[in-house]
Amino acid sequence: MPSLSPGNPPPANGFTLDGLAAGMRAAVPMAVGVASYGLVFGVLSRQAGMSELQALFMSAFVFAGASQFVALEMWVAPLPVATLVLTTLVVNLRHILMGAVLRDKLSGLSPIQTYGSLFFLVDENWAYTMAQWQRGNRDRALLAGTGICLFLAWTLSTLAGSLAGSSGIDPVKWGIDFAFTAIFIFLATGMWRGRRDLVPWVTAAVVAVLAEQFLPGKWYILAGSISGSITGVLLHER
Amino acid sequence: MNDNLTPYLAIISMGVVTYATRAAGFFISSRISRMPRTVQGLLAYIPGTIIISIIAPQMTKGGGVTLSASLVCLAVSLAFKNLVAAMVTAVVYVSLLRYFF
Repeated sequence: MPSLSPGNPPPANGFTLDGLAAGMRAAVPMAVGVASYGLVFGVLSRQAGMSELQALFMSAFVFAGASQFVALEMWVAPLPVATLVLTTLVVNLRHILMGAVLRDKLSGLSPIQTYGSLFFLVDENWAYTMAQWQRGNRDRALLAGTGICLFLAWTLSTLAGSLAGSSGIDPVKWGIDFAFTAIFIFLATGMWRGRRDLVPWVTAAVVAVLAEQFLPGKWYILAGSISGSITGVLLHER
Repeated sequence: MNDNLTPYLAIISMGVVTYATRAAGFFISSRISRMPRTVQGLLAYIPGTIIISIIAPQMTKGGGVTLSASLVCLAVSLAFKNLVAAMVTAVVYVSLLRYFF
């Protein structure tokens, strides 16, 4: 838990302990969804050969679902540390845009409040908090409050899934090896922004399938994404 | 490098770059007036194309089973907008196909 200076007089910038608690309560329905996802991550982390402690440590320290699932894909000995870190960076680049949008809303907070809140920034509570603030809610602890609730749900469900996942079942026989693909197909449907995504996505798919044949390791992910994104910019953003 | 420490080193590095992406948007935007439109556009395409690049080889590698399972998963995702439903349906579908064929 970050130190958010409890005991100080109520600040004028809208960051209060009450607001923090209200944010945690508001995030409970979101936390149920996050926990089901974390349970799956925990189970699959065992399939990838990760220990309970490593899975828990990753969920607490990285706290970013999509990049953690991608990391499981790459979790083979010897660990490709540089590729893992670079891919994590690219998967999470969207945070930069999300953080940039928060500029005006967080500008009155202290550095600890601001950069503490930003640790808990994930897609779900960012979308929720932005909607609340645009509707005139002045509670500036909402991002941190909702984030702490989701953080607890994510880490505890990871641990539960990891403990459950050590029961030694054959993943291929039960189709569990396809669970990764299924999760990403689901995530992709949520990221579809309309017809302008069609050509960039097809480009990414074709380049990735080809690059997977010719490039070592997981470089096909970056090759596909970068060529697809550049295609999108060339087609639609000029 | 000690084999027992490498996973933790990897996780710590992942955590550091992830936090950097969370902090960087606010940090940079509170110092410059606005990001170039091309950069914004490029960043906006990255999450979707990353996901597609991950799944496209997985979908095609397993032949008819994984290709048809992908379509089933896509249909359930669009119909119910629920991760667990999409995943369970797809996994059960794959295991049934492998059991019977």
